[in-house]
Amino acid sequence: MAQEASSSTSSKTISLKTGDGEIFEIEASAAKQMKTVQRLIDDLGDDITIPLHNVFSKELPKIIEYYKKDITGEITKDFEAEFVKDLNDDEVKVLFLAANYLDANKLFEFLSQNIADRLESKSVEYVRKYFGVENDFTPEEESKLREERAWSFRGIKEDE
Amino acid sequence: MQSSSSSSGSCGGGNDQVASGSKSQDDMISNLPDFVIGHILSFLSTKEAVLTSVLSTRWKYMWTFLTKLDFRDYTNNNFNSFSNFVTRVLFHLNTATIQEFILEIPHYYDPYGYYTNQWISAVLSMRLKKIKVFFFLRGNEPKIPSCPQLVSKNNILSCPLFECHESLEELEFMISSLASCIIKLPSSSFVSFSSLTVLSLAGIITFTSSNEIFQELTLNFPLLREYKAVSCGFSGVKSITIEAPLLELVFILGMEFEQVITRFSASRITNFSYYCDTVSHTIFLDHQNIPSSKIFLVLFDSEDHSVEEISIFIRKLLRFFINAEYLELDLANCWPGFAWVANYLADIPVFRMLGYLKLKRVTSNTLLDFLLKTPCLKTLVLQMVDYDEESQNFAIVPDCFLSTLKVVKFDKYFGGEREFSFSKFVMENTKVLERISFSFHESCSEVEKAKEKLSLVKISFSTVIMEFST
Repeated sequence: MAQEASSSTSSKTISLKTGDGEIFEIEASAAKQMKTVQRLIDDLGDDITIPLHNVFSKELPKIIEYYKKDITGEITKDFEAEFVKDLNDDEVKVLFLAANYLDANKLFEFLSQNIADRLESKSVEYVRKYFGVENDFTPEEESKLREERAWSFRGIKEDE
Repeated sequence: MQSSSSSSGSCGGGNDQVASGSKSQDDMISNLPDFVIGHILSFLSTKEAVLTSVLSTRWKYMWTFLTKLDFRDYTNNNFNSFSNFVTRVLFHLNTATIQEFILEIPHYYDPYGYYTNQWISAVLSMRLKKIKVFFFLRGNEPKIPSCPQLVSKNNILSCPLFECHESLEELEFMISSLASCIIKLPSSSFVSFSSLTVLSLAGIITFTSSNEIFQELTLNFPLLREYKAVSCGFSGVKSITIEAPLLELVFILGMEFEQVITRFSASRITNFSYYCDTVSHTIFLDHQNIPSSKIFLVLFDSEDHSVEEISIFIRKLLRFFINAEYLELDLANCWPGFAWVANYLADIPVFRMLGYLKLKRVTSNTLLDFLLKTPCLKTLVLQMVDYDEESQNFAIVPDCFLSTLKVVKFDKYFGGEREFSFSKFVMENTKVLERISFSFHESCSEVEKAKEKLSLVKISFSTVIMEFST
């Protein structure tokens, strides 16, 4: 690439602009962890404010918080538990989508695990609602499928 | 952990998204590429991931992009439905990479590993990173009919694990002791698993696949950090060298088979536990300057070797750990006749860094042998034996008494004469002692009397705290 971002010095900060117009600063070393951002830096240079159309001011601070801890190597189980403790299901989803957009691998993995934890042992209806999925099986199709997968359904509680 | 190739479920990146803020959030997750959703599903147990096939037609085959397989059945149910489920899942899988294969089932589900072999073989070519197989026992299982032909044909768990020797990072096989299992290695005297970081085997016997008997087998694990072997052994070889430069933790409990020399070529071991019969096996560590920090040795002797042989074994083993900071040694059932042989451990090396020493079932003469070789000892925990021993020799006061020994704890104190005279020796001669505690053996009948006797001893410092507990 023509321009190498100043990743050797960790004191350099990069400006990020969210889809709703707010500006946040992150360290260059944290920006490296978000591959989408790094690609934009490589293309546009590190002095320009990087626009992130799909990430908004509600979620970006949380993401920055996570990577701040990551570059100092302080991410522990306790930190991760605290991080998601007060987030409701929608907020986790938003963060997950943002992590996917930013190609932020570590956060993506962590949130995948968290979403999976939230869905563990939940009923089919619950999972449908969570993902916003519309059931387009006919009742016969569905009951046939459930029968085929009978072993999976043991132990799952169903909503009324 | 996550490779950047597209098939293993890394994030899709910004390009895949339609950048429209007005689209409802709920839909957005469903619209992520299949392999990304498959990746989320990989964090669920396979049983739950397959459930999502009922969500909607789009989701019917989403689970086939699973990258991790996790089959656990603790419900003690019908093996057939479990096995059908596993077979169906394996059949429908739509990925080129399976990163993990976890199987936890009661032993009686698959007593000879027949099905497990097939299942693992089905995924071996998919760049597995982690394999964990755990056969557990419950109290109430149906009896497994014995089938000597099957057992002797080495049919149990004999899948060719070596196929994933480049990608495998963690291997855990914990088979209950009802059946022995074999891991086949290629017929070569040098076997390497280049990515392995954790190796944990229980109830396994490792075997070379060909009928050749190798004199020496080298197992090369350049990234291995943990090595645990419970009731394992190597058959068909005379000596094994485990090359593991990054190895930190070694745990060996009970070894099977004939005399095998095991050599560890590892210079960074920080935690070494060895709970075995003494003389039947020889262990070597290649580096004498291992900065080992914690050593746990529980040794017993089941074949009545002579005192000579046992002492030589102990001295040889201890010689590898002269830099240990923490040593726990239990001469469990070693020939009680040790009590009559004074100073059989007089030739052990000096442990210059040892701060914590715990000795179980030792006589006071052995204790002194150790104390004379541990000049920096801070804490001493001991459990003395009841045997009559040769007369105690308290002529030399160990260095650690004078400058470093701060805490002494007697476990299972019986109040016997030899115990008492040793504790007296300690109390009268230590100069920096802060605390001495006595925890009484449950069958000690004269606790109060013993307490009184101890309290009367004149301790060299009055600020020492003396504690009693039962």
